[in-house]
Amino acid sequence: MTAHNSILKTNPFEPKLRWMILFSFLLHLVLMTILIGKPPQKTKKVYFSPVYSVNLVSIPSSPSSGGKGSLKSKKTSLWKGPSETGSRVKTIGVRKHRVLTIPKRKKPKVKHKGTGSGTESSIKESKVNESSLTGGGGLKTDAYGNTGSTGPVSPTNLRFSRYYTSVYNKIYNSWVLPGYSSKRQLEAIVNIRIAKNGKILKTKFEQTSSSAYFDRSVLRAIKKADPLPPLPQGFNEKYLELGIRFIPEE
Amino acid sequence: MKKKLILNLVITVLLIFPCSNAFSKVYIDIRSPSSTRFPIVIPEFKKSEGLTDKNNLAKKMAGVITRDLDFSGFFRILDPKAIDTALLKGVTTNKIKWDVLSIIGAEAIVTGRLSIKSQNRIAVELRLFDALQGKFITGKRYEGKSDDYRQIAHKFSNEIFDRLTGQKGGFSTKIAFEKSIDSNKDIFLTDYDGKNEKRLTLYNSLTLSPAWSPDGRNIAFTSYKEGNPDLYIKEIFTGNTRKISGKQGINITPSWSPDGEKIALTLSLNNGNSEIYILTVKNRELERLTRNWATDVSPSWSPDSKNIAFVSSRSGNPHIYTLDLKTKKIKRLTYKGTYNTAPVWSPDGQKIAYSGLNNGFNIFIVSTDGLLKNQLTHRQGNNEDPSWSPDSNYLAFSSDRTGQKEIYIMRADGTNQKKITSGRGNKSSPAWSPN
Repeated sequence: MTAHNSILKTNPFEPKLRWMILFSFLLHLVLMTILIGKPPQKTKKVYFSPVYSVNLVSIPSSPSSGGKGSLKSKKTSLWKGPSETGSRVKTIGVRKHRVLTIPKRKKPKVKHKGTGSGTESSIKESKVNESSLTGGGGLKTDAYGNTGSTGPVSPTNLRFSRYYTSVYNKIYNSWVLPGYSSKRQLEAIVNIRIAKNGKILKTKFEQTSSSAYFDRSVLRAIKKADPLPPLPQGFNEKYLELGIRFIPEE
Repeated sequence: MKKKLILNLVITVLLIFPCSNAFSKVYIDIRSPSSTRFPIVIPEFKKSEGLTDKNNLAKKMAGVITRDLDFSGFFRILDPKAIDTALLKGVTTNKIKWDVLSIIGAEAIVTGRLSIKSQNRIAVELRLFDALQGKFITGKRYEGKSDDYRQIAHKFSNEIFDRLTGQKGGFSTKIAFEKSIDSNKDIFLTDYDGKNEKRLTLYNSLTLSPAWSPDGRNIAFTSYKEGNPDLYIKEIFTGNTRKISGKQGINITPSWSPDGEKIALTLSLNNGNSEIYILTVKNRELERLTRNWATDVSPSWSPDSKNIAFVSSRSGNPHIYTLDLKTKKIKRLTYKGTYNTAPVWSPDGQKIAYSGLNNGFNIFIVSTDGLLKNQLTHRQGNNEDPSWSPDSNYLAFSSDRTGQKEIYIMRADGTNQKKITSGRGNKSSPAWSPN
C-alpha cells in the first residue's frame, strides 16, 4: 500500500494519464462506431435522367425510366478536387412522364481547386498522316431554361433539375451515333466543367468506352452542344462540374 | 499536455471530416442518340496541278464513296455544293474552313487529291476529318490502275465506315449470280453495287446456285455441263474447276460450312427423293442428315456450325426447318403461308431470311426461335433467293418487278431497295461474298 502510494506520489501526472486513457478510449470507440456504422462509400453520384412535363419543347425518343436502378459502382473521377469525395448517395427518383421530385435539399460545399485536369492486289495502300491541327468552330445557340429568382442554389435542388434537363436536351440533340443498335454494350462518361455563361471550359473522360468511334461521337456531341445554357442564377461558384453518361440502350 | 490533447483532437477531426462534407456529383444519363445518320460531306476530289483528268476520275471517285455511304443507311450525305470551293483550298487540315463546315451541319468531311503516276496508273490521297473539331481521323494513299478507281474508292469507304460506325464496311464485297442468256445459264460476278460485272462460267449449259466459300476464294455451283446436275468448285483467281459431287440424281443447292471444310447439299441418289447431306470437301465423305419421304432441300449452315436450316415438305407444303447437327433434332420454323423456301442464315446468327408465297413471292426474315417474323418486300412482283451481306446489315435478292428478273440489294429492314443489274437476260440466285 505504501509502496503503491509512493509510486503514485512519484508520478504527478497520474490523474491526467487516466483521464487521457479514458478520453482516448472513448475517442476510439466513437471513431470505430462511425467507421463501422458508416455505409460503404462506393457510389457518391447522383444520376439524373430528365423527366418531361408537357410544357417542354422537345422530347427525346427514349428517355430513361429512371436512374435508380442504374446506379453502379464507378471509378473515381480523374479530376482532382473534392467533388468525388464524401457525402451520402442521393438518388433522384425519376419516372417517365412524371414531374421530377427531389427528396430533400442538400447544402453543397463546392471547393474546386485548380484546373486538374483485299481483292485487288495491284492497289498499293499506305497511311497518310496529318500533323497540323487547328481548332474548329462551335455552334452558337440561345441559352434557356433559367429562372430569375435569387438566392444561393445547390446543384441538387429543383432549379438545377430544370437546368439539367436543358443540358440533357442540348447534348442529346447533338449526339449522332450511326449503328448504335448493334449488340455491343458501350458506355462512356465525360466530365464537363461549365462556366456561368454556359461555355464548356473543360471536357475530360472519366470513363472511356472500349470503342474509339463511340468516344469520338460523344466528344463531338459535347463540342456541338457548346455553349450550354447559362448556369442558374444564384449559383455562386465560378463553374459547375457535371458528368455526362452516354449509355445507349437497345 | 493540454496542447497535445488539442492537437490530437484536431487531427482526429481532420481525419474524419474531409470524407463527409463534400457534395454529390451529378451525372446526366443520355440513353439514346438523337440521330443514327452521320452527316458527312464529300466534295469532288482535287487534282494535282497541271493534271488533265480526261476520265473525270476525281469526280467519279467522290461519287462512288458518296453512293456507298448513302446506301449503307448510316450516313446523311450533305450536298457538296453547299461548300464554296474557295473554302476548301486543299485537302489538309489547315486548308479547310472548319467553321463553315459546322454551319452546314457536317460532322465529317472526306477530301481527296488525285495524281497520275504513269500511263494508266493513278495515285490518290484520301483523308477523313472530324469537321466539328477540325481533326484528322484517318488518311490513306492508294496507287493502282486507273481502271481500278472504283475499288480504290470502295476501300476508302470501308475505312470511313469503320472509323465512324465501329463496324467493318463491306463495300469491297462482290455478288455472284445466275444470268440466262438464250437458253443457257451462267454464273457472273459483280461488285456489290452492280458495277464491274464479270463472267465466271461459260459452259453452254445450265449453271446454277453459286455459293461462296468462307474465304471468298472459291465458288461452288451446280452445272448440267456433263448432262447431270453435278456439283463443282471453281477457284476464282486461277479459274481451276473441279467436280466435287457427281452422284446419280441431283447434286444441288450447296452451302459451305463456316470453316470451309464441308458443303451441305441436296442429293437424290437412286430413289429420286431429295435429302440433305454433308460432303467433306477433302475426302468426299458423305453424311446423310435427313430421312423422310418428303422433299428436303436448300440447306444453310448457321454461323456457329451447330445447325442447318433447310426446306421440307414433310408437313404437306414446303416450310423452313432447322436441324441440330449434334442431336439431329428437327424444329419447324414457319407455319404461315403455303410455300416457304430458300432459307439463309444471317452471318450474325440472329435470323433466317427466306422467300415465301404471299401475293407473289416475297422476302421474309424470321428469328431463329421462329417467334419474330417480318416481311421485307410487298406487292412488287416475285422476290426470291435472299442472300445476306457479311455484316448482316443488307440483303441481296432477285425480283421480276420490272418484267425481267434482276438483282436487288436492300437494307435488312427492307428499306432502300436498289436494282444493281441491268441489260439482257434474267438474273437470279444472288450470293453475297464474304468480306
